[in-house]
Amino acid sequence: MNNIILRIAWLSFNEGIRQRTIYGVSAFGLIMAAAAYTFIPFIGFDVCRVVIDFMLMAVSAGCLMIIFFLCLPGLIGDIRDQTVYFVLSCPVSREEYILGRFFGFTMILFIALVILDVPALLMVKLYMMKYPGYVPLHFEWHKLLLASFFRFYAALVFLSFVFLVWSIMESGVLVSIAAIIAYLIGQNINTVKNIAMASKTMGIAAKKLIVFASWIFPNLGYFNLNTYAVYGVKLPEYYMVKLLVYGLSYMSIAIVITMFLFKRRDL
Amino acid sequence: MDTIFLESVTKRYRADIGRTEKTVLDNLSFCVKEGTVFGFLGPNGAGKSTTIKILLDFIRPDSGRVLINGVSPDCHEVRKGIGYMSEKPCAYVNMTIMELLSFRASVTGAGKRRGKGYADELLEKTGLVEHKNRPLKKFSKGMLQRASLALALVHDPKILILDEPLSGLDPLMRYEVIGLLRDLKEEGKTIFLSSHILNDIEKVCDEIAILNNGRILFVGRIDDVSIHEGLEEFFVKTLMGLQ
Repeated sequence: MNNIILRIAWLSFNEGIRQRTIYGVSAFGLIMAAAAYTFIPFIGFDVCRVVIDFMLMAVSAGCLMIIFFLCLPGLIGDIRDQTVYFVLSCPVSREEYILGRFFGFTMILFIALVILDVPALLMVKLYMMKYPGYVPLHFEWHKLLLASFFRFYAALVFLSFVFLVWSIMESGVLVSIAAIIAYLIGQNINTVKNIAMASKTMGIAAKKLIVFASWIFPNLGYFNLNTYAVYGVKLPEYYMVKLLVYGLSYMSIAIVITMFLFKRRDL
Repeated sequence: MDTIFLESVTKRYRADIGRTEKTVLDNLSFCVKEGTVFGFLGPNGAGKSTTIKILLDFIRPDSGRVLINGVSPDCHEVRKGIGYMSEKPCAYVNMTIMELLSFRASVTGAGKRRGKGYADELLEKTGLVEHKNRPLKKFSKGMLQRASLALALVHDPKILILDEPLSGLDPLMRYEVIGLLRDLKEEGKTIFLSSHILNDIEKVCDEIAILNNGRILFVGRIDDVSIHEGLEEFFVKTLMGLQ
């Protein structure tokens, strides 16, 4: 990777890590662990499965918090507060700036993943020791870690979509609203698509619209591997490869379009 | 060869809902020769910052030609030789000035060339040496302004583009910055600066341009203006169309 992109990524990472958001996310991880410790025993059955599901949800929510409270305001602030001028007044191309910023945020998200994974794994371990009778039959730690990693991967895919929206829209409020809508659509588009395809009453135009939306919006539900982690079901290798390829293709296309649009934009 | 060259540059901001299209720069042409200190004057909204943004390729003109050292600003390599100080100090506020200087020195390739000692020297000149490890968010406006100037100078650029470099500075610091600009002029740097503070412009500039409503009203040597009347009087008369 080019040295300038690395420098921008490092600057972006340092700037982001010094904000309070990462502490907030760490606190969130601990609160979720405390909540799991306190409330899940009241369910009375399958507590290990519930705690795995709950802590994976916490990882996902924590990554989302980083995007909404750190990455998105950072990108909006770059234009509003003109911090982008600091970087672009150097011999840096706009493409390098976009890539550097994306990799910087990726590093922050990875740190957040590690921070969130610690209480998640500890809590799962604690429940397994406390309730050995409820440990899922085929439970394996690597499946849990894999499910957690794909939550992070989904966050990266969503982040690339946020970059794309940010390169199109000038208003920070609109970018935020579009990101929230995209997230909600992305979480549910797969289910909606499956229902639509199975429906015999829905018109062809509506079905085509849903299929089109599933191509445009990041299919985040796709990356939810909780079932594999919770029930210890074997994860087919081709499915993992499919997820990796889909995510990588989506991110690449979104970032390339972002670079194309950002290059033409007045700052 | 002219260091900065603009020919028939026009920039319009597109119409938003309920607003009409606005021409910010209208057929703007001027040039800045190598080693000159060029003062770019005009009231608020005259188009000074827009011109500077075009020189740095932050925005693109609708028509016209812009060249810096004979190269279009959209070639990012041209910015290796440019030091830019913005009107509103803009940088990542959680970082320290030392980290930002190091970033800028490394991406411009000046890190190895100038050595680490130069950053300290620069901070000494701008009165920030005691604050080098404090994040920018703890800086006052004047300190941010000085930090911005230090960042513009770190890679020893041939051209300096300074947008309101003297605003927000106390009289003592202003005096020191004017001294610094004079030193840079002695070193043969080309300085393009916009300012409202006409007295200070008079002290450092060789040439001036007066801009109003996106149009150049006057371009010429400052000696021609200052001999007969003060710059302030000339500026006001030019804007009022009495000149």
